[in-house]
Amino acid sequence: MGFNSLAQTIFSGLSNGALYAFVALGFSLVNRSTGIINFAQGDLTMLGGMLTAVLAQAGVPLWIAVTVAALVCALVGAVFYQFAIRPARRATMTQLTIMTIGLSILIRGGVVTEWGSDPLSVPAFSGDSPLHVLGISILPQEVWLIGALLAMLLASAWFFQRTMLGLALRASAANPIGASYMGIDPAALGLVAFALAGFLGGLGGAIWSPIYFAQVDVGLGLGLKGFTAAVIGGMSTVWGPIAGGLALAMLEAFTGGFISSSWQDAVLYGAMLVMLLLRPQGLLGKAKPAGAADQEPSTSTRVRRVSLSGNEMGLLGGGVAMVALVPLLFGDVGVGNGIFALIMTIVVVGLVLITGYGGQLALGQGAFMMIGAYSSGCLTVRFGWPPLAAMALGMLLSVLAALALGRVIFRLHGYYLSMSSLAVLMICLTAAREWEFTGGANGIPGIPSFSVGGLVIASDAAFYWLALACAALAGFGALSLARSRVGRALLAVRSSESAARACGVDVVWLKSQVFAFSAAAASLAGSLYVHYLGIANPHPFGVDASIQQITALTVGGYMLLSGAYVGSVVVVALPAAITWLAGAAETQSVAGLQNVCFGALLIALIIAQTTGKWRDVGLPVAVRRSLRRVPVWRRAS
Amino acid sequence: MTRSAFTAAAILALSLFSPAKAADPEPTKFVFGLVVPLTGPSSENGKSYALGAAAGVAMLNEMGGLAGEKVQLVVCDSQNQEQQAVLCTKRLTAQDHARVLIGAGSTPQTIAISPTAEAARVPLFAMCGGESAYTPVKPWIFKGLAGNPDQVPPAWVLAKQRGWKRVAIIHDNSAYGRDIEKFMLREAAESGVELVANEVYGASDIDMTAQVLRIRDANPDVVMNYALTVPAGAAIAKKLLQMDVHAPNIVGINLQNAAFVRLAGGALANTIFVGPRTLLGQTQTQAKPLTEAEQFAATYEKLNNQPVPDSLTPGPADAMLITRAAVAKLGKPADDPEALRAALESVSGVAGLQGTWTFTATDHGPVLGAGITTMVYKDGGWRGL
Repeated sequence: MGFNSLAQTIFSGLSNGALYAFVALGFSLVNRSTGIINFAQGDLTMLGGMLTAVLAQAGVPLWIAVTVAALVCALVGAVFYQFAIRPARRATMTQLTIMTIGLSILIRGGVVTEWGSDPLSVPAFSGDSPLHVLGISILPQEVWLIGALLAMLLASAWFFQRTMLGLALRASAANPIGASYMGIDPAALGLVAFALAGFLGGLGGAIWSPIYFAQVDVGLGLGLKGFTAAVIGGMSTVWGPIAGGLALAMLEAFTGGFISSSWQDAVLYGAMLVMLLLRPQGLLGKAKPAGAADQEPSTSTRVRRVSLSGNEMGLLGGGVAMVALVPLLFGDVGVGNGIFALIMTIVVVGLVLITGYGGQLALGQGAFMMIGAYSSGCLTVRFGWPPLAAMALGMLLSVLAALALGRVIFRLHGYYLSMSSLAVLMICLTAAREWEFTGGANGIPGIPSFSVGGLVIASDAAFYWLALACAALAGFGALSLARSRVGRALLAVRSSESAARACGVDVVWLKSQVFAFSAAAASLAGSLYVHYLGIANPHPFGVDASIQQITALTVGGYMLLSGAYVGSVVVVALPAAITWLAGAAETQSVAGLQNVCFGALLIALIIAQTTGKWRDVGLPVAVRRSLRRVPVWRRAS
Repeated sequence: MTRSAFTAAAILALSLFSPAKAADPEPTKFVFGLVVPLTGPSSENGKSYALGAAAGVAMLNEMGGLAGEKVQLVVCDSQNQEQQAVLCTKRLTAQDHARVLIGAGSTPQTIAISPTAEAARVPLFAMCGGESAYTPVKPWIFKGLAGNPDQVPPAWVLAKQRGWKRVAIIHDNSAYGRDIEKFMLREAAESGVELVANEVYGASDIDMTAQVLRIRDANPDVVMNYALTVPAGAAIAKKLLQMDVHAPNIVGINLQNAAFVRLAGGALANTIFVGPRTLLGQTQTQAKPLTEAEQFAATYEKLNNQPVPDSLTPGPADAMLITRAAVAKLGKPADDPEALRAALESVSGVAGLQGTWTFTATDHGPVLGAGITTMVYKDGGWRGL
């Protein structure tokens, strides 16, 4: 690579870094003020681009379109905080973070419903003709993007050092309790932080969209890159996310330029993992003083009562029995939905333990599903192993991987498990896509039907019973674990990690055990999935699948194992139900409406679970309580 | 579990597992089930398939249906997900009683729905580029779309005709991109043309500067830009121009559409498309007039107020024309799945929009050969080279 190409690569990194910095700044602002990881930040950036495109196409002058787009995104952020985050005062950080996933889905659904999912072109601010400077080809729009970031930097420096609001935000970030004693209202600051983050995202998206079009599908990817940039740079300072954005983009550009574009994602997320392990506060972040580690707030006693009551066994049995009726009642389509719901249930059961009981938001269960899926695929197709043996080996490998990973990542606190698990997932996805042994992106087709001994489980109905048996096994296994010393210790850790440590609980080992159980469950689900579909490829195990699993967990209730069944059924079957209710043919609008409903459901459920009568429970318990108030039901029972 | 809780859960399950369509189609209708992504990164392609299928059904009904039966189309959005594609296939076969399936928009998703189609004994026309969907032969799976073996050779034929000796290829790391790479490497080895760059990018990447720089450094005579998605393909075309790479930019079948034309901007003038010869119309080609193709084009234009816009739209229509030929062979309503499958396996010389179709018991994926060619977009339409 000559000097020109090298300089061009550096400039390209700078330009992309400016975009990532915009997104990362939004993450950092919200996180510093509220402790929440705002997973909607990427979609707010996408929304800024889409709004600019739509307004510009409607004839609105470009500068007005950009301003309106950024302001609307700020408004979306503020409204979300005011009417969703703020009412959910008793929510844990995990729940609030999941709520932002709901906003992300809602924004995507809204955009598809309103404008479809076609990419839109956005006129450049000052023409498309590249400028040639020292042999580097520069698009004027890239200059705008970098210039806007510099302007934002100056504005941020002024805002955080010269204005009362900025100083209040810094004070609150440094010492929330001390700041509140000084009369600083944390709720007002949260509102400002969400609005500012929305504005930054919208502005970044609006300025970037002429470079790579405005399209709905970029939101998730941008969010992940911005999140990674914020972690690498450090969220505790203004400069951290900017440095992280630039570092990430440079790493990306140089990996693509000098190593391999194919392994780019693995290198980026590997860097994030290394950063988390060696310097969790990021490049420019400040380490928290000893003993000031992030911790989930205590959950109410009601949570513990529900989760550990003997009633859970009955609910779980009832859930299994209810699902067992599906083949009798709903025929082939119901069985198909049921199989996928049961496979998801197995994963969600593990999430109930690790996220509900353990208070750790795991976003990378897809990695363990892939271990199971590819163990089954590779061993049965390439080496002729019996499916049961391949499945068992996959589960063993997942357990070993989880134990090894857990020993490292559970030494960290707060949202680090989310980030680490996400990084591991992205690395696994890249590996599966690039290795010939795993069949590359095309995957491994021709995976045989599941069989035990000479019994081949080929029909849908038979596979349904197999999936049900596995889901029941996972559910009752998880219940046994939750009711054992491990479960009680987990709840103790969740309430107060320091107190649990003082009582002799080995927190890292405890969480690793539960992580290993959830990994084994995910691996089992992955094996079943590929035996049912007949192909193992990376696509079904990505971040979208993780979001669906988290949605199912929220719908079912974080600490309710029987809720895993209901949550999974809702998530798998809701798209068909919405299409049916909409009474329309399959259109993009209906598909968008499905996402709107998912997002709204996620947000509404968390608000309900953390405020009113539905506090701390999932949909099944909430429905049961509501029905008890109906006179006819009260008389009958 | 209390009675109320059980009933509540049952009510929930009832509502959620209920049929997705309000009413079953009339039993006397011949239903085509279409499984394509209407949302997600490939939704642009899904829309083309859906519009093509709608026009195909209208055309068949104008022709009198299939052995006297009216033809109906039921579409299901796969959301670009394997799981959803399988559920769609189950719904279309079990509830909508589809007698022929068309889908699913990508090779892995087509492979994923194949067992369901086979179990339901419903023929499936594969709408994907990869041969592995129908090779080796699976009794119920048939090729329906010009695939990668069809769309790669025209670019190389053109390269040879124009004397382009140095070829650069760029594709993504998706299943489609990797399959394209395989055929490109095969063509390069057979033609003896020098492959000066083989660049790959991530399917979700938003910047391909590094790849384009390496292509620039390789100084190719032509760039073959076979992107999976329109934004990626258009962004590469624009980036090539920005980096002063003025070599012609040949794009694959799924970029030959209105969205690419809209997004490519100044790069459009430098772009050569690969697509079905029939899109060029009779004024640009010496090919024999294809009655069905003309009829389809007219029906499409009547329904959508525009000519057939891209290479994917004719896919479902060809599946329907092949089915029509098979039903004509049967000479009676195709209510026996095995008889329909056997008839499909014996169709010969069916003039479709993408080329001439002949299936045998040992070949469900014929190469379309001359049906696919290179073209440019000029004066508001597709023009032959």
